Amino acid sequence: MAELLEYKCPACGGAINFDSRTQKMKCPYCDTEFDLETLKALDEGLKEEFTDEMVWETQAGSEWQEGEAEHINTYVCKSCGGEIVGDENTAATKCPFCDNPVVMMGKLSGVLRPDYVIPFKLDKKAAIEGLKKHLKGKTLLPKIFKDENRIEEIKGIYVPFWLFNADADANIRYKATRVRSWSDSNYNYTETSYYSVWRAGSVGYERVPVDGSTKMPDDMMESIEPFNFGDAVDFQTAYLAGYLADKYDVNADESIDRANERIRRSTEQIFASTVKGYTSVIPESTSIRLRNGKAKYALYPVWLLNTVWNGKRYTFAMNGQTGKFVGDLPLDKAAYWRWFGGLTAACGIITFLITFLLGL
Amino acid sequence: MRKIVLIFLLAVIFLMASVSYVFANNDRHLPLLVDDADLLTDSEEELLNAKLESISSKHKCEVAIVTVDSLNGEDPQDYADDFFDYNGYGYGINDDGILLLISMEYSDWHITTHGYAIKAFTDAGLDYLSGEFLPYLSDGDFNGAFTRYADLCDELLTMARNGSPYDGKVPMAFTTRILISLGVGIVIALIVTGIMRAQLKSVRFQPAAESYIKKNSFNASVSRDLFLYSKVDRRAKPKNTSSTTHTSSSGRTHGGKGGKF
Repeated sequence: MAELLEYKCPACGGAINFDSRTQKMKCPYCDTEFDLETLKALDEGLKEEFTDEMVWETQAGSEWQEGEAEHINTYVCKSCGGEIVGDENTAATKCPFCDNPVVMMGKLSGVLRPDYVIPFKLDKKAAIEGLKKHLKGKTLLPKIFKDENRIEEIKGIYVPFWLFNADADANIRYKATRVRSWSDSNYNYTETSYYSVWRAGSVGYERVPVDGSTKMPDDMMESIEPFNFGDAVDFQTAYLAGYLADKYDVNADESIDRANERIRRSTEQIFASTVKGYTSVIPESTSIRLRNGKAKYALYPVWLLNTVWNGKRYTFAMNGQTGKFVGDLPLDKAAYWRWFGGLTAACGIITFLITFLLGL
Repeated sequence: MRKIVLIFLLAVIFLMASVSYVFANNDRHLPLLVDDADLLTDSEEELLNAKLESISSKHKCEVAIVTVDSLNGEDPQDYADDFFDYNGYGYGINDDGILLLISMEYSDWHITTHGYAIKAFTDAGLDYLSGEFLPYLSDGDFNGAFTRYADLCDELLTMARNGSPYDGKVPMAFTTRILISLGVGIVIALIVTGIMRAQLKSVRFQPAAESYIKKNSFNASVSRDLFLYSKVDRRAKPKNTSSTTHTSSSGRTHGGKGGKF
């Protein structure tokens, strides 16, 4: 008695039966023919897929040692509610986030001790240079914006980051096509070949950072990445001297989603980069599982400048280690429309002349 | 020896040229406008004939009109071709010319082209030409139809002389040209100012975490590419536009188009 085999057609999803008369697999719905071996392999591949699993162990940070936190003062800003911490010798007067006066709260309590710190590598002078360079060569930046900037107010601040380590196992299936074209005297031919492509394997991630402070915009902190962890040292309160530190208000558990998102995306990208030689590649199913997920708590150095211009707040940040400078700038609307109008007119006239010369 | 060969060659070339001249250039013994059906007044006839003469000499390509009462049972195409061939129409050694035949008996019209006119009046050009003068014919305005025909022949021959025979593509209207130019201008301006605006923005999320991949930790243990099936799509090549030709009873090649009005 013949074995009853039923498969799903990879082209249209309909059920295909083995036609014992023709010894072939033919989809009754879309008329596509297949090798039996192909369908068997496809079916086996589908069985290997697993479900997503992203589990983390989030014991980041540690308890402060006896007496260690006594040398750290905390300040609170009455205006924006931002909480900062500083070495007892560093007197904070103004809030680095909103520029309003801060009030000393007392001794540090209720937060974990950081595992690591990357000390500041670039000083204030470098930060001022960084800002000047950042404002250069921007055609649509209002001229007076440069002059009105209170560049001197730039502050160095340690920003709390949760660092996530994990190994990701992935199993990804793609639908890929390869297109070949040729022609004879009467017809143009296009042959589209469909492939099912599997990639599975693993990739390890080290210290994917997630900003632990709501006062620091997440997109801004991601913009000054990456930090080079090679310079990191075990945390000592001495590193806080002369700088302020932001107190984290988002804990590690709450930061996991963002880390997962980025790890997932990167894993998809690195596997997709191994699928080569196709005209189109579409992921059909992606399963990613994390192993050895661990989180750590670190302070990263950031130079920060808040400034208000025309009633709007502009924030600039520089990576205190690599010097990467970011910050959105205002648009000179008048200049924008001048450029837009001028370019439209110039390109319009050129196009008009070209169409005329080509006799179109 | 070389001199003799040269003289011989020159003689052969001269002989061939004169022979083809004799064969081809049998002189026309009828005017460019032959109004046998008497559809026009004498003054109209005179004016139109002068117009055809001037267009013909300007383009070195004869533009002719023949009206008859009856084709005597002949096919309009054959009649037009033969009329053209046996009455010596056509300019120069290649007999370049176009002839419009009107027969009143069954309201037939036919245009025949020969020599250079075959290239100048493409199928698309003949469609355009007939589409323009046929409404006048149907209304019985023969002078209007012939004048329009003569003007359009002038126009199409000018286009052909300039290197681009009418191919059905209507030249852009002035307003369309302005609108397209403006559109292109706006698109380019948007792109350039868009780049300038982008310079002002430097804060954005990092979508992935590629900077944090552990060195040499990437390991693709499974890498399988399975061919499923393939499909071939066949499409007919587009036919290129040109002039359709046929051979007349005299054995010469003609182009043309005809119908009823």
